[in-house]
Amino acid sequence: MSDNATWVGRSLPRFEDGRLLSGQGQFIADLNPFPGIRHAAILRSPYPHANIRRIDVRAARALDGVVGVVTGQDIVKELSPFPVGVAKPIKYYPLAIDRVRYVGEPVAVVVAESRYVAEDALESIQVEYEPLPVVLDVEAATTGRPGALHAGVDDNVANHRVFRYGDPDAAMQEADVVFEERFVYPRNTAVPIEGYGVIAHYDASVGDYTVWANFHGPFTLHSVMAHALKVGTQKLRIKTPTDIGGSYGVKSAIYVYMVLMAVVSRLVGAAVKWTEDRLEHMQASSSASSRVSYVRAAFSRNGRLLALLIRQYDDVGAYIRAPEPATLYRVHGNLTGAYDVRHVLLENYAVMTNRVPTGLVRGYGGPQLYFPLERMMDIAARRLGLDPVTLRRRNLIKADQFPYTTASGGIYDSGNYEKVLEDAVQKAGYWSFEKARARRDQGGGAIRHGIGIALVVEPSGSNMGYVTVAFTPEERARQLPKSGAVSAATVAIDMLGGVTVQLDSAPEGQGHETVARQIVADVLSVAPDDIRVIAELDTAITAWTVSSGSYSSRFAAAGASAVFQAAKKVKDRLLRLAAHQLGAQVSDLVLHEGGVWHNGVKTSWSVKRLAGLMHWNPAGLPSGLAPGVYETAYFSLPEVGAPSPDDRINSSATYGFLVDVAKVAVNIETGRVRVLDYITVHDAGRLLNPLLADGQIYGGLAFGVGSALYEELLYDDQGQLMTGSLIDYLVPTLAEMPDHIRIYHHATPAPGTPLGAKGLGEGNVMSAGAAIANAVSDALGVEIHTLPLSPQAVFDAIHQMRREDRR
Amino acid sequence: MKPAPLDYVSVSTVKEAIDVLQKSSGEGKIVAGGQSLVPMMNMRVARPSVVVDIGPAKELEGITKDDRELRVGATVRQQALLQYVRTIAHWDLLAEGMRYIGHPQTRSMGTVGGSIAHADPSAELPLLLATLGGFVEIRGACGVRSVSAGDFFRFPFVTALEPEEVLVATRWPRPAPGTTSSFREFARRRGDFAVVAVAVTLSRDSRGRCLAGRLGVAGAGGVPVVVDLPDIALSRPWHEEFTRQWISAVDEQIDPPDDLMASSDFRRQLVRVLGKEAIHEAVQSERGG
Repeated sequence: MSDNATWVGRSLPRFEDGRLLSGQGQFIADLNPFPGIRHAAILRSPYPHANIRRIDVRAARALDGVVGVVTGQDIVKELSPFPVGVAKPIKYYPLAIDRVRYVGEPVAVVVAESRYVAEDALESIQVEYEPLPVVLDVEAATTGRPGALHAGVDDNVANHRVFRYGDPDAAMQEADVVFEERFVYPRNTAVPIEGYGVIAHYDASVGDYTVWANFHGPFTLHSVMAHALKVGTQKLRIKTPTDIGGSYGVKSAIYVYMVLMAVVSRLVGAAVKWTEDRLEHMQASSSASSRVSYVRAAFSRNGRLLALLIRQYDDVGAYIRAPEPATLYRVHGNLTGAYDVRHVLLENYAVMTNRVPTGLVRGYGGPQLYFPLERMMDIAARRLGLDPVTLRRRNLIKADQFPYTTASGGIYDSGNYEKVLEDAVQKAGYWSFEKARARRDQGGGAIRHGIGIALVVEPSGSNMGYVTVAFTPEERARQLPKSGAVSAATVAIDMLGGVTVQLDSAPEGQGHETVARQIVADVLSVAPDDIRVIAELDTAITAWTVSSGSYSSRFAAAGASAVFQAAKKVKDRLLRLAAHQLGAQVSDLVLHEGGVWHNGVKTSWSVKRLAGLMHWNPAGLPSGLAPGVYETAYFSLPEVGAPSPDDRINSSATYGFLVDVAKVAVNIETGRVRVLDYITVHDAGRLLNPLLADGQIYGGLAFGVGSALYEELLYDDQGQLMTGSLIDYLVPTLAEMPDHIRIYHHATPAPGTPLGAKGLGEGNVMSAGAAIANAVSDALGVEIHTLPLSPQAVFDAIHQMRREDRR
Repeated sequence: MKPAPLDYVSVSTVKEAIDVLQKSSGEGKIVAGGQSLVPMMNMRVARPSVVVDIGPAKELEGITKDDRELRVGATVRQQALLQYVRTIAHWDLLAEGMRYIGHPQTRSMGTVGGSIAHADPSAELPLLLATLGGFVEIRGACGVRSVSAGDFFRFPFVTALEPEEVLVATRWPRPAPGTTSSFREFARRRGDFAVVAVAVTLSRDSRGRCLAGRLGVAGAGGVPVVVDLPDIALSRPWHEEFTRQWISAVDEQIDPPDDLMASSDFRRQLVRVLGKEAIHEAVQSERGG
């Protein structure tokens, strides 16, 4: 395909932007599929941990305009607890039943004529709480005796697994030096502009649920929802709106509210709409897991990394909500990053605390891995007396090692890490920085300059089987195996040649409609404007799979491939008909500029005429060619099998690579970190649309800068969220971005996809925290172990440095 | 995030506003730009029984300037005042400091009187009014009174304004001839409330001898703190030693809070750093006429 691509690979402007910029987007809050829809508001727990002694909803029910009030006791009879991805007896319902476990946990739902009345009614609900001790420390699970959040899980450890690859003990013995450090990655979140929104309708006449929501998958969760609702999956129809106002993963956790509103609709006997507000979103939607990591790195004297020993504690919040503890496993196959390390010992803990449950947030599992790993490489380099780039070079996977199988079972499909690293170092002027710094920092002013680098192997196209690594091989043996990364797409041509494409990716703003147009335009040799792309997903009529949805940067590898295959199937049918009409061989025909060419000569047949013939004259079709031009393809990424009995897994179908270099200026008087120059060099295979690719990189970098310098969901020692609004939870704006950003691309094709593309929207979320922290450490001569590097944190680090200097 | 039930009354005169406030027996609240009150109402942190919209009251509009002062009507939008002071001489500090208020969008809605009445301890306008020695004009049932900025700001979000009174204007004295000024702010992001902000004015005679100086700090206490130039500097040409003395006088008078954005110690450090920078800039600026 690459030889005759007209549209793929071009920076086609986003088709979606016309409607979005003119205010014509169709979001969940714009939908009103029923007359007389009622509005829900949710009463939430003010306590992080408490027994519910009594709930009195009489006054709320009596309020004018209130349709119904639903509490945990009302739903416990109707629902099954959500299935959880661990072998522990944790009962998770969408409403607290008799105990609340985090501030903001839903306790009751009021349905009323308007949201105003519903919120008024919330205030008249009386709840008697009996406060319980609060659990916030993840390490206490293994060192102390915290109070249990859930009966039957006394230590609050939802998941604990140990993995041994190679012979880490022997490698440690062999090593000349072993460095050990403790790192903390903070709890942060995504903050999409649009919050959650759900419309639920229970049709009592047939017993079916229809739920509209700005849910974008993974659609495995459809089965989780149906299970909770105690209905067959055919009785739960999920529809997504045309537009989703961002998610960055966080809206995958909306499924809990979809079940809640579905059952509420049934109990109150009305269609119900709930639109989450910002305070609810910050407090109770979802967040990334924070992580405490103990990293031990064993090196030879000349800087060869011999073994990596990692013990990590994830704070998964009050319930281990599916797909957690996946933060620990999403990067399992690329645990060793860009380095050739054969001996690994990994110990994973997923610990429950009285904080909001965690889930997907852009970069899922990546920054929690790469912040400690890439910081460790810098610390080791300094202690070994090597430059951080030199140390990394000595351990890089070499170009001739691809496809490279990692110690933990990942299969890095393609790449040239050395070339990308050299390019980044050169573009950044890395080796001349030292001289420039000496010049700039002289004179004893307040500014210190630093440079930092981070290398990230960026996974995309998650293997659905990776979440089952949380189970032991014995536990897995008792289940059916899970694997795969599949996407579906449908391409149809109507009787006058109009082309329609149906996606299964439920995009949240990435521009999939634009890319799908480019792909189909190339395959069918028609203009992008002649193609209509439908992005709304309806589980009752759209072709979809358990792994459908937009997450794990999967569209470029999986979704785009399915679109390509579906278009190819359409093209093949058209050419078969053309061959019949022309009395020619299919192999002698090509589509070009919308027409059929026979051995280089244009014929009278076109895509439009051929499709028309299929529809208008089915009786004239040759035998073996069925009528209709409507083709669905299910594309399965290769090499994504179920975990092996020795716990190896290729957790993603494809792996890109990026190297970031950050140059910072730190003001040692005010603690302000300014990112002067940010160079990011990516190899995400073939770029389907460079404009969109760069857009993803800018967005991912904004996320990374946020996690590095600004964002943290902070709880006080009583378990109260202190950053519950956008006044306190600081999302960087354009003004906080680096002064200069330079993006470069390499393009080593992904061998397992027809278009050669890999995902790239999450890499900078994984790298920026490490690159910026490395640069700040370099500037100050203080090793940074946690993020974000707020002015206060930098101020404290400088004071620590001065205290140490005085000793 | 929907407000509790309330009555909305739109008034076209200050007298009407006072009448409504009196009838609400202390439960009424004036709204103009709504940039602080409306979010607080939506969060149900503020629950006024009556909201009195003074937007239509013509007498609260307008900016007037004479030889002594600038009088700014309560409902003048922040953006309008900013644009105005950029085009006139003498109020350089106001023009400089107002650039840090929020964003163009919030400034286009937020009013000058609203920000002063709200009295956020980190806000720029209260700091500027206090540093420039301005006044607040207040009308109640018994007539008009004028309160100095120093007396107006009492505690965080608490002012001398009584529940049945209306802030009608703020008055910004024209700085003495030969006054130079500077403004510095440290915020986490562009447009955020200040962690610490510092405003400085310094008046000198034609031979460069110091006549007066004021250094105001926001974010280092419940209200703006203003510290005069130390007496030792009066009638003497500027000497670097004065900076040290002035900063140390400020350090003694502030009591910075400890919160999510910054510890008390860190705020003190920021006051020292920003204070020094602002003093230096004021000292080095060209003296206006």
